Amino acid sequence: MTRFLVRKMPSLMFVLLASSVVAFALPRLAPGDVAVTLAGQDPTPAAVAAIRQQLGLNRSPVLQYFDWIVGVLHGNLGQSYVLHRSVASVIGDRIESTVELALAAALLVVVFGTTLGVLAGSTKRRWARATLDLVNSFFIAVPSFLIGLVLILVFGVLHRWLPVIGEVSVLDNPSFGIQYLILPAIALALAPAAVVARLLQTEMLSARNEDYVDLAVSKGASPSRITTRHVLRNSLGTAVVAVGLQIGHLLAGAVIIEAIFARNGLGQLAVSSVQTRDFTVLQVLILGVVFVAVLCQIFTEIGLASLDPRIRLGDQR
Amino acid sequence: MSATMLATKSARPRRLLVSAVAVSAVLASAACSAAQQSASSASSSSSGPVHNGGALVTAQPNDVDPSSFLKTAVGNIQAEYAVFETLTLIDTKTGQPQGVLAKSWTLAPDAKSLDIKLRDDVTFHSGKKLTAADVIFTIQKVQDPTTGAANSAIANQISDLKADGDYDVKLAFKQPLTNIFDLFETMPIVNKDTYADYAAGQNVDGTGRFEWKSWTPGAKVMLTKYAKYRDAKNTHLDSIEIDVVKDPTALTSAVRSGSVQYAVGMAALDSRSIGSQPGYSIVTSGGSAIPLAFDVTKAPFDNQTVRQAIEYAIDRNRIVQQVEGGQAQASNVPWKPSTVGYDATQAKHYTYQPDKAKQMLAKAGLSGTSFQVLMINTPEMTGIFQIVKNNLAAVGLDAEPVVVQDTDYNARIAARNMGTPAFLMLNGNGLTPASAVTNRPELLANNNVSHFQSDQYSQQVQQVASAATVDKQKTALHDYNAYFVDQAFAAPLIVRPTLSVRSTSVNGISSTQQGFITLGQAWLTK
Repeated sequence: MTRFLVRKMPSLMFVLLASSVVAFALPRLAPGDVAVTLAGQDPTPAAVAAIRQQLGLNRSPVLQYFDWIVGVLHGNLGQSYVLHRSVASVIGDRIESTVELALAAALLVVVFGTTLGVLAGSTKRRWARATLDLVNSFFIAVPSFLIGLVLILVFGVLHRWLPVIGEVSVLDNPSFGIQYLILPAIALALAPAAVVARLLQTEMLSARNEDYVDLAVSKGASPSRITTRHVLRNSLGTAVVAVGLQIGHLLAGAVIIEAIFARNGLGQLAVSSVQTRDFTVLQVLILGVVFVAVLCQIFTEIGLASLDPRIRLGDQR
Repeated sequence: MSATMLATKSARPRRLLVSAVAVSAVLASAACSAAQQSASSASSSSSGPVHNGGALVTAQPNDVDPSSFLKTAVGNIQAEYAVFETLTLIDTKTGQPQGVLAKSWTLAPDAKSLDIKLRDDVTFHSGKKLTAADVIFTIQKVQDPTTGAANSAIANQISDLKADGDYDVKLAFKQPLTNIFDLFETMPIVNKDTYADYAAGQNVDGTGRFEWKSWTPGAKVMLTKYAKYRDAKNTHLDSIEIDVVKDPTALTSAVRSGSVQYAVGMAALDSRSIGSQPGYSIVTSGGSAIPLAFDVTKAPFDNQTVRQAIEYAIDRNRIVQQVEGGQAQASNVPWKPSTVGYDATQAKHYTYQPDKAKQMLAKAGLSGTSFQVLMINTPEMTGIFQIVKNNLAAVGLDAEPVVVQDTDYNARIAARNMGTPAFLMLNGNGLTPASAVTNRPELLANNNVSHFQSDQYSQQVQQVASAATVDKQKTALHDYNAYFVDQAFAAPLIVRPTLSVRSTSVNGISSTQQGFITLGQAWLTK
C-alpha cells in the first residue's frame, strides 16, 4: 500500500500543478471585472483603477499566479475580493453543507444502488426484471434537477411534509438536519444509484454463468448463499469502481441541487463566485474539486484491491 | 430443495424491500411535522387587525452585503431600512421628504444651504446616542470615492459641512441643490465608532427598529426587534429572518411551500402568477425605466431620424401586456408620474406607427440593415428583445441579440463601451430628475453611455440639476424632456414597478422611493 501511494505521488503532483494553472487562468478568461463590481454603481475609471491596484490586479498574471500558489503551499488560500474575508473561512462556512449532502447522497447511492442491483441481478421473474430495468432506466434518464422539482412539488408544496429550502446543520440539530437533507439527497442520489444498480445487475448476471456458481449449485448451496457469497462478492468490484466514479458526479450535481433547495454549500459558492468574478475563491474551489476527485480515484483503487485478491496495488504481473 | 423453500427464499428480498419502504415512510412522516412547524405557515387569511409578535421569514436572491449599506446594494434591499435610518425619506405618493432622524430642516430660498435639526431621542443599538458627528461622518464617507457610495455626485456638491452642537448640522452647497433629499434617501446614518466593523458583518450598529443579530454569508441574516427604539410600541414583529435563495425556482418553491412569507426579486412572471393565487398578494415598489439606447457614434444611429423611426416602430403596449403582464406603462420619459413637472403628453410622444417608421427609414436611406443589441441575461430583457426584434423586422431592420451577464454588462457601462450600437438598459427611476441627470450613466451631459453630447443638452441638464423652485423645476424638466425625447438616444420603452410577493398573513410592508423595502412596521396576522 505504501509503495502504491509513493508511486502515485508524482502523477498526483503533476495533476494538481496543471490544475492550478487552469484554475487560475480559466476564471480570468470570462469578461467582466471584479473591480467594477466592488467600485459601486457606475464608477469612474479612477475608482476602478484604485481598486485594481489595491487588490493587486494590475500586476502581471504570472506574478499573481506565483503569489497565489506560494500562498496555497504555505496554507494561505488568499482573501475573497467580494466577501472581504479569508477564502479559508468562506469555504469553511460552506463545506459542512456540501459534505453533509454528499455523504447523505453517497449513502443513498450505495444503499439504493446495491439494493436495486441485487434485486435486478437476483430475480428470475421476467416481469420483475423488466420492472426494475424500467425503474433504473427512468432514474438514469431523468435529470436530477427534475427529480428535485417533483419532490419539492409533492413533499413541500402539495403536502408540506418536508422542508424544501434552506438547511440546518446535522451536527447542531440531527433531527431537523436530516429532514432538510432528505429531499436534496434523494434528488442527487437517484441517478447515480441507478447507474450503480445497472452495472451491478450486469455483473451479477454475468457471474451467474461462471463455473464456480455451477459448482456451488451442485454442492447444494442455497440461492441466497450463492447470491451473497459467490455472485455478489465477485460483482462488487465493478460496483465499487462505479460508486467511486459517481462521487465525482455527485459533487457536480450538488451545484444544481444546492440551487434548487437553496442550500448554502460550495456549489452555490462557486456559482456566485463566477457571477461576481471572485477569482480567489473560484480558483481554490476548482483546485479543491480536482484534489477530491484524485483522492476518490485513489480510494477506489484501494477498495478494489481489498475486494479482489487478484489485484495487487503497484505489483507488476 | 423444495418448491416451498424456494418460494420462501425468493420472497425474502421482496419483503425486505417493502419493509424498508414502510419504515422509511413512517420515519419520514413522524419527523416531517417538526421541521415544517419550525417555519411559519403562509395561511390564506386576509389582513386583519395589527397583531404583535411573531417571526417574519422572507427571501431574496442576493446576499446581504454589510460593507455596502452606503452603496444601495441590492442585497440590502430588505435589511437596510430595518437596521438603519436616514435623515429623511421621500413620501412615495407626494414626492415630498418626511423627517426620520431629522426633526426639521430649513432649505435656503436659493437652495444653496441646508440647516438640519436632528432628533435628540435616537440611540444606536449599542446604546450610543446619535449625534451630528455621526451624520457628518456618514456624509464624508459618501464623499469618499473609495466607498463607491450611491449619489456621491450629490454629496460632492456639499462645499461645507459642520456640526453646531450635538443635534444641528449645517450644509452649504456649491450650487442650488434641491435634490439633496435624494442623497438623504440613500444615506443610512452609520455609527462612526463601529463603521469599520460593518464589512465583516459584525457590530452592524444602526438606529432602526431592528438589530442585526447574526449573518451567515450566502444563507441568511437574522434581525431582532430593538426593544429600546423610541417608538418600539409600533414595532410589531419579534424578528425578521431574511433567507438568501438564489435560484428563481427555489424562490418560487419557498413561497408556495410556506417556507417564507415574503419574497423579493422573483421573476415578474412568477410574481404575477403566485400573486394572483388565493393567500398571496403582489407588492409593488420602486420602479425602473427600460430604454432601448443607442451609441450615437455608430452608424446607423448617428442619424437622429433613424433613432426616431425605431421609436415609432416599437409596439410598447405589446411589451406591457406580453412581457410585463399589464404591470407597466408605455413611456418615453424616464420619470415616474409623481415626478414634479411630469407631462403625460411628452411621455407618450412616440406611439406605435410602423408605417411612419418605414417612411422615416426610407428617407434616411436605410433598408435591410442588421445590427446587434446588447442586453442583460434576464427573462424580462430577452422577452422585450423578442418583441423589439419582431417589430423592427416588420420595418425592414434586423436586430441580433448579444446577451451577457450583469457583471460583464456593468463593466461595459463603467468603461462607456457597450460593444454594440444598440443596447437595452434597466435603470431605476426613483431619483428626482435633478439627481438622475447627474447620476444615471445614460443621462449624463458628458460621458454618457450613448456618447451623446451637445451644448443644448448640457445646458438643459444643468437647468434641471440646479432648478431651485418648483416652477423652475417644472419648466426645466419640460424643456429637458422635449429635447431628450426628440433626440431619442435613450428614450425608455416602458417604466414599471418592481414586483414582490407576500403571503396575506403578513401586512404593513412598504417601500422607499428608490424601491428598498421597509419591514419596520410589518405585522403578522394572528
